[in-house]
Amino acid sequence: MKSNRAARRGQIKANRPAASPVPILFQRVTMASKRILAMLPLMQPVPLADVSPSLRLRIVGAAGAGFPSPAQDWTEDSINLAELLRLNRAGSFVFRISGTSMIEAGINDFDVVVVDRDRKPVPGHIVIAIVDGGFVCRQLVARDGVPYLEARNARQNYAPTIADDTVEVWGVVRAGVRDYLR
Amino acid sequence: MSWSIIDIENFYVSAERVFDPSLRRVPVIVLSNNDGCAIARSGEAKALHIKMGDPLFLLRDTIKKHGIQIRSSNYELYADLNRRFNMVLAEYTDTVEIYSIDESFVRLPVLSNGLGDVATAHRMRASILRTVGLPTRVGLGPTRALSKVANALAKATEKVWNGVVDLHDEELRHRLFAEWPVGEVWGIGKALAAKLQPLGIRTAADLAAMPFPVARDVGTVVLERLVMELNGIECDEFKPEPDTMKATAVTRQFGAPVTNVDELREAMARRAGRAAEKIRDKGLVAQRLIAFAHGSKHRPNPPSASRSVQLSPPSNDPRVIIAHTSRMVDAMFERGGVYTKCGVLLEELTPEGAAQADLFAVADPRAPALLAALDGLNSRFGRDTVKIATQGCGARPSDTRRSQKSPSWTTNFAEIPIAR
Repeated sequence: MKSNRAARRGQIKANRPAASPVPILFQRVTMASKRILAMLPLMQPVPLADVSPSLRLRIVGAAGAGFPSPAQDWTEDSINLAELLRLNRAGSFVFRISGTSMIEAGINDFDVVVVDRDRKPVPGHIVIAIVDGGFVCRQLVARDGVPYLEARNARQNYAPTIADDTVEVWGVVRAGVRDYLR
Repeated sequence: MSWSIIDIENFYVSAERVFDPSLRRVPVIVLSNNDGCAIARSGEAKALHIKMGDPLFLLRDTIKKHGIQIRSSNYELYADLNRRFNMVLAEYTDTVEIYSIDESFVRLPVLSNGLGDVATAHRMRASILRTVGLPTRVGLGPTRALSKVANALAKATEKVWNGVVDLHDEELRHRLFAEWPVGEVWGIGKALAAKLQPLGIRTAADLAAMPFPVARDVGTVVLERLVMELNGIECDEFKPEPDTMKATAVTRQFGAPVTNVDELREAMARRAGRAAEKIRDKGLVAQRLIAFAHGSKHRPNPPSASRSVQLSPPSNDPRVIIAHTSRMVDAMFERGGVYTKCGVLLEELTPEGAAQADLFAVADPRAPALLAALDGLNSRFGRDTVKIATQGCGARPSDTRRSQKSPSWTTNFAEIPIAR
């Protein structure tokens, strides 16, 4: 009963914005609700109380009765992160970071990083490299002219790797993306 | 202007190696659709005498003995890396002609000494290796046919010429063509080579020396154009681009045999949906639809049937096409039959809008907007994000088998490579 009431409250709440001038453009109707909708005499208004609680109503559009939006001549495309991250370049690839080897360089477990294959790695760059047959994320540094790959996590003992001919630097990490709510 | 063709060395294997370091320096083969036979081999696998098209079941012992790595074809990955490959090429030229999934023609200026721009060719190779991680070879020539011959030479002489061969020099052409068997020239198949043999044409040099009208008599106008191109005369009609698509087929073997009508209907709908998508992508509509299903030839009394229908008005709407294939499956299904393959053919394709109108049949006026939304969603959020319910959801045993497929590293967020 309680859940029934809650469902009904939900419907009323969902219906309230119909009066607002904000148009809602998406309609998602499940197969089941499609069948119920077909049975409803939709030519006439249906009292909310008569609608089955299993049917979830959604607003599919606003009636064009209010003022036209004063912003309509000023709309632009929404912000596109792929553009900011320049994912459309031939040499840009996306990797997922697993673990905390680079935590002091600001790269956390589960971060997504954008990797440029076409950028020449120089000391100071954070890179994706192939070490012992697997991908690792490390910082490239030069010590006495010898290139090393170093982790950035003082709490764990990550051994530095000499970046010699047996180590392939796959690409240079250019950008990172993190989900803070995860 | 001159032409160059750049091809990717063992493309499918090289693509797998970009994201899977464990495949480097070991023999690797990539299998065809449904894991049937070898369609790409690494140099190490070629050295073990594995041939193109060798069926997997005949290779089992060799694979075990030499620890050969096997992969199913990962077309998502190959298509994405091919796109990136062509993006890099476009930085060096005003014209890229995509010839196939692993080779493209590129137009380059001729140098003032009359030779090809070998330095730029080397830069393109280096850039593709650095940017996309793929090894390539380049052939240059005054015509497409000559660049293709140069490319074949670049493959054969990789160690000597560092993967770039230029055939602008006429004298060099004469010397090389004398040693080049005619059967290995681009476009000369076995049948044509056999036809040329009695005429004393055994090498590329013999072929190039053929008078043009004789070439037209022996072969067709296509052979005449090839001979002209081998002599450095560019033929505009000698384009590698296929003519506009006249028909398309989506036919695939089942991963596991199908014995019930619902499964067959769904498998057929999946192929029909894909076929409709293919012609929409080219802006075409089909006037004729054929659906077929059959069993294995190696079993007694295999079921086999096909149905066809004239589409009026011509269509590329999956709702229309799948409605037809579902009815066709219901009509042709034999109870107790064991089906191993089905397919959909769309024929008599014409450009959208140019198709002859049907006086009595009316196309759904809402269809263009709906299909544009469908294709837009699927291109943005991945294939089959939105589809016809008849196609079913999720993987099915009847799907083509790709049991050893590597992840879709570059096209699916859930499968991007992991660095530790």
